[in-house]
Amino acid sequence: MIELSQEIIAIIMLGGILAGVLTGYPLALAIGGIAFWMGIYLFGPALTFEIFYSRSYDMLNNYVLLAVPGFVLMGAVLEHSGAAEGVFEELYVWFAGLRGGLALATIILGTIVAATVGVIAASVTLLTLTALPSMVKRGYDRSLAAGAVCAGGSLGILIPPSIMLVIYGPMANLSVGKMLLGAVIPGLFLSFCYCLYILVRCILQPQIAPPVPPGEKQVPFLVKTLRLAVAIGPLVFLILAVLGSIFLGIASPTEAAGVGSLATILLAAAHRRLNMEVMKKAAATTVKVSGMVLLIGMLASSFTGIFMRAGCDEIVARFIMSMPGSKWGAFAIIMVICFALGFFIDWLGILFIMVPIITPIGTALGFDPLWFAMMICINLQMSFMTPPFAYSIFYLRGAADPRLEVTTRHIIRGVVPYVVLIAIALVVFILWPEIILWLPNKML
Amino acid sequence: MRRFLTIIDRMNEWIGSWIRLLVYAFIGLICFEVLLRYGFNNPTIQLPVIVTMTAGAMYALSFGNIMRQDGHVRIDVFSRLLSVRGKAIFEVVLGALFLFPVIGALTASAAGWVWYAWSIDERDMQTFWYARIGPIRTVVFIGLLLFLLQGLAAFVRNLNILFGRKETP
Repeated sequence: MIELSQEIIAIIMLGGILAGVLTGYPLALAIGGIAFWMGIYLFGPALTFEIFYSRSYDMLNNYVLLAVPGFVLMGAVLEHSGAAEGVFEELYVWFAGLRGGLALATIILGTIVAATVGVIAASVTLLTLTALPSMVKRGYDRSLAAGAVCAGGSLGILIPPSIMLVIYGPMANLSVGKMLLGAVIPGLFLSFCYCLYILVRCILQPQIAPPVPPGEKQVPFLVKTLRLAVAIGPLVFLILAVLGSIFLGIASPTEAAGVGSLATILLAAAHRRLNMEVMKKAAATTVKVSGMVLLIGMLASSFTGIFMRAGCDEIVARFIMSMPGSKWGAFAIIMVICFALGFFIDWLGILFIMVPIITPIGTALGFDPLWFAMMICINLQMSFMTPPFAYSIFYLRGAADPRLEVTTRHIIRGVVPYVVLIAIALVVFILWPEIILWLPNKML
Repeated sequence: MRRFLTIIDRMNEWIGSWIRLLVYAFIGLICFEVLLRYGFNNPTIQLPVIVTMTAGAMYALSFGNIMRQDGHVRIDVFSRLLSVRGKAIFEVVLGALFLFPVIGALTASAAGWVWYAWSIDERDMQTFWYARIGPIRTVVFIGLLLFLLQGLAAFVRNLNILFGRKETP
């Protein structure tokens, strides 16, 4: 047997993940497989089996992670009961007369509805199906429309309640409640920047977003405002109630998610949108998404177990710490690594693998752990939108009706401005970290 | 052989349809716990443990059915360019390299732990309720076994694509 140095082991394991994942085999199994063979080679079967089983068992029996199925069910009920389409319908009517109004409606729908979905595939697909066709039909520039869908859909993984934050929290020893609250203002800030961008662009180039001709949707202002409030109000109230109960320390995120999903079901029932079919579909989605998340969690956590036992986390730490330019050099390299991984690996894989490794580094460098975690999450969000490898682009292309003639070229052109906006936002959050930290610090 | 594959499919499908009920069961339990705590000021130590175990059972039993629907996340940026045969080659090789060793090892360890848990009447030490762990360990084992079987079914199907007789289904 050849004696491998820790550096080589680290390179083989991390490189192996990248290669394994790109074969198109299920992500979880590729990650687990690499770790398994390395574990057998380094520690023998007995210890490897033990690491895999104990880490997997712990992952399956984790109380905090129960918020994941709770939040997924909330989103699934909204999605399958057609509440999301209902909201877009009202937003459409309200914004129809405005230049670029439908793009604004898309971003706002992403902010409110996709917020509860929390999985990037689901939120981008949802917006592609509801918002994209009406924009293209109204003669919107295809890249403007596609950009709004990608940006709005990607917001879903950041704006709470989102499962990315629920998963990040326990791994970094951070309170999930604080994570959720910390994402509120940055998420809304990004959403506001997106809207501002659309407005400015539509003023500069009026031809790319024609207003819906009057006569087609002529509704008095007060009536349409009232209808919008009726459609959005309960949803906003629900999200505020979930976050509020966490903020006030009344409920743990798990409890808030559980009660929130019950409330969502009751809300759907009140709107007469609930039936057995919806309940079944929503439950099926919940089982599928949470099972898939947990499998990745189990095997990625086993990977980390092997990786750390081989001492590779120290190698990575030493590599990052040796970056020039004080702590900001190290910070930059961490961000670049996560950004680059985001091209290839789903955020789930990145979080489960990277968080246990980089969190101690961030703390050692003297960054606020919560701020550091938020920066990683926002950074990942950006990486999912950055061409050429971007999940939101792939999902949009996969879900879009071919008759709309939205090509990858359109999507890429549309998405780039938002990537720039997020990059600017990251700089803003570096200069004024209070934007992230203010709300969670007020938490009771 | 075909019959065997169909049985595996049916089994996971059947379980998949039943565990949907677990979703509502554990949401109901969480809400009930909240009601007890804030409505009657009478929290229990049992409920959070039961809720956790219910969800654990739900996750573990879902893997096979998700595999049946090919629902585990794949990064198919490159593999979508491959032909059906090319994909089948990847699936067979990686199944042998990744799925069977990893899930096989997990199933084997799980079986050992099931035996251990029942033989010493293992208890959960995280709360003062000291719940029995045998049942949840057993469910986790069953879930992993179903996952392994479904992986085997997928493996055989891909072998059929590669070497199979040209039969009409």
